[in-house]
Amino acid sequence: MKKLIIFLVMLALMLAPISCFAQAAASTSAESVTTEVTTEAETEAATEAESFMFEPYNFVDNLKYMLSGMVGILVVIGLIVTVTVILNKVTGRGGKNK
Amino acid sequence: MLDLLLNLFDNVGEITWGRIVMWLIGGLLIFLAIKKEMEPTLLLPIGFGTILVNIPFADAIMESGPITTLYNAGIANELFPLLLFIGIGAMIDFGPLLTNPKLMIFGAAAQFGIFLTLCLASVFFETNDAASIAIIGAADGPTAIAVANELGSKYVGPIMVAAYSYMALVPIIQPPIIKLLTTKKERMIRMPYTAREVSKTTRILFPIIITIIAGVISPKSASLVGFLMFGNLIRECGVLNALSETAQKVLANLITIFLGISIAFQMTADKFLSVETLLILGLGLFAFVFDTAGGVLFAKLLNLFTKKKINPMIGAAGISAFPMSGRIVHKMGLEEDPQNFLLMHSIGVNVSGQIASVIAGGLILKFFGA
Repeated sequence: MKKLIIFLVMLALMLAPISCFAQAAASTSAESVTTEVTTEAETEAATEAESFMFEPYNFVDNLKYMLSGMVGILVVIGLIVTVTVILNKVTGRGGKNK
Repeated sequence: MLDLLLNLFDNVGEITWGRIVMWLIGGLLIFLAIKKEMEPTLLLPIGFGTILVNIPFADAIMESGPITTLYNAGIANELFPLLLFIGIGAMIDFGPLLTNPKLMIFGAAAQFGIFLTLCLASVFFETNDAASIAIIGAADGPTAIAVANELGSKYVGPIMVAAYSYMALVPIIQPPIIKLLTTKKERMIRMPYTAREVSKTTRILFPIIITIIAGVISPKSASLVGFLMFGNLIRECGVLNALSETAQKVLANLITIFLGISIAFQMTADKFLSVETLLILGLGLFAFVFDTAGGVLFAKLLNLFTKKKINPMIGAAGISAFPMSGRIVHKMGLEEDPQNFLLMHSIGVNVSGQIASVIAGGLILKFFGA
């Protein structure tokens, strides 16, 4: 129970700013569609509104980078481990210290 | 006369609420650095620099101002983080890792949070910014600066503050995650350590070979890995003791001063005070949490297939916050069983996290760099 409470508190701490941002992005993007840009100040505000994003499909689109990245790191580290083991054998690593 | 007096205070009218908030943030960073001793080497210069650059019309950040000059000279071209890496490399002893190279696999697993955060951050930010934010999970300041600059991120300031703040908060962030994901029985798993000699030849060849492997696979990480390993080579060669000492102390301290205060260039109210900053702080925490979870869960996965059980807590030491993370895991092990000494294993994993985090940065640059 205690673990569940800790988990929920941490999840809330992480998701609170994300949800605030999502709401801000949703409301700003709705406003930017109806606003007609005529002045430089309005252009700047519109650009700022455009920089607010909420594209949930990007999460799925970028999963390939997650897979590639983790496989890549594991491959590189695996290679380093192999080389290190060979290096230890070739350079005659000493016996166990008493 | 009255005009003259009014002219003296005309800058007061330029103090906005945003600047005042940034002064308070700078003060908070200084407080955390001094009173709580949270990464004081960086948080104090960043905090003071934040106060300085938010003074209206401060010459420090004018076109040829000192902070602008330092930023262009060392941050914009990633020189300072690379020079700092020489010092860090000179401080690292790869001995515990070289005696048991298999521990490096946990360093790899503990970078999971970076890539998961990349996916989540891409929902709210452009790809280059999302990738820069994800690298907060590397728990490595120089890597975070180098990647964020290379990708042209607009959020270098918040990313830096998040990276260094969370590195200092590792003793608070990690233990609850570790306890959540492990049982008491698992935390009590003993891992006896057998000291083995590592030959000097291995210690000398290791940094050279790592540089070649990482550089060939990810050329964009060649500088990051190369400078780290160069520092280590200076340490291990045995004939450059003076240089090694200089790198560990003088060089590291000097660059840290310049780095900390020049990062403040990105800490102006207009760049820092935004909803995106809060979001970046949230995503940074997310990255750290899932880095820890990734390492621990990977260790638990391995325990399903291995006869000799691994204490899953050592997986959490795979983040690059060296040596804090290693010590935390060792301390948690002792709390569960006063005879369970995990230090050599956890430090070995912690050191491998340093290598893995730089490789992760290189891969991020390979995927998203120009």
